[in-house]
Amino acid sequence: MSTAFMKILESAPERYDAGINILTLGRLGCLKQDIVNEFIAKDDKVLELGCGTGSLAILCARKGAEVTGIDLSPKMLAIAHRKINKAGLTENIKLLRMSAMDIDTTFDDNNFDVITSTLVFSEMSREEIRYVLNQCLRVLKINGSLLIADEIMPQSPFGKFLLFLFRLPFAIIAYIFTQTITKAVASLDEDLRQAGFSLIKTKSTFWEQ
Amino acid sequence: MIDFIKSFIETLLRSLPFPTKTGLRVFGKPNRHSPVLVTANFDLTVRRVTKVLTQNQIDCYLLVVNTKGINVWCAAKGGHFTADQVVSVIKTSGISELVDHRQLILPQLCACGVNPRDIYNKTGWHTKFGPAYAGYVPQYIKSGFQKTAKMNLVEFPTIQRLEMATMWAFPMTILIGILSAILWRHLLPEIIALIWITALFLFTLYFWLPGKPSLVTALVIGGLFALGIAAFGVFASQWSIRDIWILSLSAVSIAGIIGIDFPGSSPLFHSEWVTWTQERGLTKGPGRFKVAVDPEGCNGCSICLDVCPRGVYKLEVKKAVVSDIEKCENCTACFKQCPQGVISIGVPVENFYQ
Repeated sequence: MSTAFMKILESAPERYDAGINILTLGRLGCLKQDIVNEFIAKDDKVLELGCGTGSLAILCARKGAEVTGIDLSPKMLAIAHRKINKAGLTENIKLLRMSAMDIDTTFDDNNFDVITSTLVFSEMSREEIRYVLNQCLRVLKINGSLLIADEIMPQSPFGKFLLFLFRLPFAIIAYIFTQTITKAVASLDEDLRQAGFSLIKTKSTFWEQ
Repeated sequence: MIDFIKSFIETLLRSLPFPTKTGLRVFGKPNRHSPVLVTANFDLTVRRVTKVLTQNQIDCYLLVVNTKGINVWCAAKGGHFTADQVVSVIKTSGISELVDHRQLILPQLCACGVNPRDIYNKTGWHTKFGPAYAGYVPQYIKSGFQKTAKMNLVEFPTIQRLEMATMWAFPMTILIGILSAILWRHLLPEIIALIWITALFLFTLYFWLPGKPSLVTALVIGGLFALGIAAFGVFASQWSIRDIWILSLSAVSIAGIIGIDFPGSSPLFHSEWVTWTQERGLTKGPGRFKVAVDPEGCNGCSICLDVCPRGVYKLEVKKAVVSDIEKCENCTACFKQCPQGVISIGVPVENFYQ
């Protein structure tokens, strides 16, 4: 049985895109395009946290943005490199193997117009989230934007219960595909405000469908 | 009581992650010179470490690293316990403001995943690999961080084999249980009993049986069980011929699965199936490899002795030599940690210092 687990573990980065599409019922793909349409402009300097296989970076670069993508996983980045080469976008996208926790020593102040992250904060502990948010503020230009797409814990107890029920089979499937356990992020609003961000817009893609 | 229930569940479902709160934990009344220990955020581990530190009244700090709830060894081998995770907890815990020294004590079994040089370059913290088991930590600290040869060793005593047997048998019970409930409901209790008896037997006694533990050994045992079942079935029970066949074949299959899967109980050896495919180039990976030390480059620093969980190395005339190659579990800790880069494993794998 662990054979099966191990095989899936080894192929996880390749299956990641497929696995996540299943988990989010295909919505993450649409969401990424929505993000680019609404928030990314030509010549924007974009930092993507947890760029993974590079899907969002490529969409941004196609619109004319200059993208820096960071990720912890060398396997994910290898896939991203391949996709970027294939798309002919190597001039526009720079990839770095690093943790979001190392933004403090890697990037200057007031560097980026936009920072994006999809499904990254749900992998971090609360302390890590706060640390990274502070760093995001530092490296963003004044009036720069931080875009976060993630699993968020609902406010109401009923919502929380519903999320637990609904999530369980998908969490199991996602674990089998991607070997990651994620949890919904709680208190993101509060942490963002404490870091110095103002909330301009939030969109829930569960209730609003 | 709750602690007992948690440990019980976490043992049954040990093959799954159990994340617990990460970050800084304080034990006793540590001062600016107190030791700083590190572990992974697997709940069972953290609770055991907590118990050891509390019972022995150790004053220290414990940094619980975010390995997504996976235990130290599996996380390190699987890429979830690396310098990145340690650097992260150093930055978020504020530990640098709490102590004057910069010495972290890492659990030994993360040596196959954590690059000490990265940690130092990013944070200025030095690292030492402490004992393999939490139980040795008090002695380690009280002796002034001296590690005896015994503190390195991972020996798989019977109690641990029973744990691993349970880890294998419980999910298998659920999986096969569901299958049997559909196909052979009347034999469900017997099949479940067979899973547990075979697992407990093979996991605990595998190494005492004649011959090396292998798929063949397991199948032979399965065959013997099957014969025993057949004999019992014919002489002493109500089972039909068909039932006897089902149970006998189940015994052989279950033993066979364990035989293939058994090495997979530690994060190091792959299951025999994976090794087989790797050695034939069907999947990526080195298969089973043999470590070797180049005596010319070795300067006798003994880090390989320090991080080897199986006692493969010893020091001879101030150089490390491979003393017991049969014990090697292919964890690659020695290879990755050798500052001189003089350990070879016959296949290209990243050395942290090259």
